[in-house]
Amino acid sequence: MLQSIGRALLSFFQKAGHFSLFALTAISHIVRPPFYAPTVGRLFLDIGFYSLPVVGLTAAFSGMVLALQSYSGFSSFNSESTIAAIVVLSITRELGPVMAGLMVAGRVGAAIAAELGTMRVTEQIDALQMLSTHPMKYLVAPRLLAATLMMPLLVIVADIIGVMGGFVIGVSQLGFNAGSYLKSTFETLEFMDVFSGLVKAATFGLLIAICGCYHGYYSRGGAQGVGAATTYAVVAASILILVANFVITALFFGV
Amino acid sequence: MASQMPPRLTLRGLTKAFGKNVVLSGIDLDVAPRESLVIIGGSGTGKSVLIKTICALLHPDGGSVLVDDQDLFRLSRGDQQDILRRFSMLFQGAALFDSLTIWENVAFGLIYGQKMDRKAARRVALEKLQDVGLPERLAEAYPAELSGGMKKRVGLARAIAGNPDVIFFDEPTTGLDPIMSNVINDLIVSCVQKVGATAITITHDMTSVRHIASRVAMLHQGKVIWQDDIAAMDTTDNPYVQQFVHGLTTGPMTSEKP
Repeated sequence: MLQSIGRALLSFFQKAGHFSLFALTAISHIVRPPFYAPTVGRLFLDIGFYSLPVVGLTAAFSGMVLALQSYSGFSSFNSESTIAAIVVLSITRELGPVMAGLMVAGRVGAAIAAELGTMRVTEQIDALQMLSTHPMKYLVAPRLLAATLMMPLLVIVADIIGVMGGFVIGVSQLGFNAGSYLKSTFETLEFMDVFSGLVKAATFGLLIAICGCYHGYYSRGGAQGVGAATTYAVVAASILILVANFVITALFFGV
Repeated sequence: MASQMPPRLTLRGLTKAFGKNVVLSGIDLDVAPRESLVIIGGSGTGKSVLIKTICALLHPDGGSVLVDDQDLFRLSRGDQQDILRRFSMLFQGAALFDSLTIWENVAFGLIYGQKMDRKAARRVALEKLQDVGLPERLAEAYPAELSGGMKKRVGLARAIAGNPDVIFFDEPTTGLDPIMSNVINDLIVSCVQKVGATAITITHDMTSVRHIASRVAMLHQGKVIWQDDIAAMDTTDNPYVQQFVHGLTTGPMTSEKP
C-alpha cells in the first residue's frame, strides 16, 4: 500500500518535472532566434481570429444569464441597481477570462495536440530535425507566443460582449433604464478589474498552448495515441486554468 | 571499397535500450564515402532505431558514432548541428509537412536550415522535382493530393535538395507496387550518384537490396551478425542471411521468434 502510494507520488513528480522542463525550454525559445514570423502570423489568425465566434457567443450568453440570475436573486432585497455592477465585475474579473479560457482550451488546445501528435506519429517532427530545424522553435514557441498574445485580445472582446449581453437583458427584460445601466457599469468598473482579467487571459493562453504542445509532442502509438494526447491536453489545460484562476485571483484580490 | 577509404561513418559498440528492452547491443559498423550500405534484418531487430541513433534523433546509451573521425555525441551542440546538416533522410511514410505545398516541402531545409532566399530555394526545389520525375505543375499541390509513390518521390527530392553527404533511406519501397518500387529504387541510385552521397538504407525488400546496395549488413538481436559486398549475399553460408534472403519459414530465426 505504502509502496504503491510512493510509486504514484514519484511518478507524479517525475511527470510534473518533465512538463515544467518542457515549458521552460519552450518559453526560452520564444526569445531566442531564429523567429518564424509567418508561422506566428498564421497562428494569430488560427488561435485569435477564428476563436472569436465561440468566445463571443459564450460571453454573450454568460452576460445574459448573469443578469437574469442576479436579478432573480437580488430583486427580493430591492437591489436591482447593483445588477449592472455584478455583471461587469463578474464578467471582467472571472467569467470573461475563465469562459474564454475553457472554450479556447477545447478549440485550440485540442487542435494543437492533434496537429503535433499527428506530426509526431507520422515522423514529421523527426523530419524537421533532419532538416536542421528545431521543433521547439518552429512548432512550440510560435504557438505559445500566439496563444499568450491572442487570449487577452479575445478576453477584451468577451468582456465587451458579455457586458452588452447583460445590458440587453437588463434593458429589454428587466426594465432598466439604458443610460443608468451603462452609468452604473462604468462607475463600478476599475482598471484593476480589467487588468486582472487580462493577466489571467495571458496566463491561460500560455497554459493552453503548453498543454497542447506537450501532449502532442510526446504522443505515441498512432491514432489512439493522438486521441489520448488530445484528451489529456484539454483536461490538463482546463484544470490548470481553474487552478491558475484561483492563484491569480488570490494575488490580485486576496486579503 | 570500404577497406580502401577512410570511413565516413564509424559505429563502435553502439547500444540503445528502451526500459528493459535492449534494441541495440553493441553495433560495430564502418561505412565508406559514397558507399551504398543496405541494412537488412527481421522486424523489430532495431534497424530503424539504429539509423535514428546515427542521425541523433535518438541518443545512444553507450558506444560512439564517428562522422569523419569526429564523435557525434561528444561534440558541442553547434558542432553536432554542423555535422547533422550534412545528413538527410527519406522517411518510411515520406513525412511530408501537410500544411506546406510540395515545393515548400522540398525547399524547407534550404529556406530554414541553409537560410536560402525563397525564390532561389523554389528554383532548386523545381529542379529536384524534375530530377525525381515530377511535373512542375505539382509544385503548388499539397501532400494530401499525391499518391504514395509521388509522396516518396517528393520525400526523395527533399532528401537530396541540400546536396547532403549522407542520405538515410528508411524502408523506401514499403507500401508501393513492384513497378513503383523499381522506379523509386532507380531514382535512389541515380540521385545518390548525382549528389555523390553515402547512402544507408534499411529495407525488407530484397529486390531493393539488389538494386541499391554495394554492401549489405544484417542485423539480428541488436548486433551486426554479417556484412559483406552485395555479391557475397547469395553465396554466404551464414544461415541467418540465407533464411532472410530466401524468405524461408524454417531456420535459426524461426525458432527465436516469440
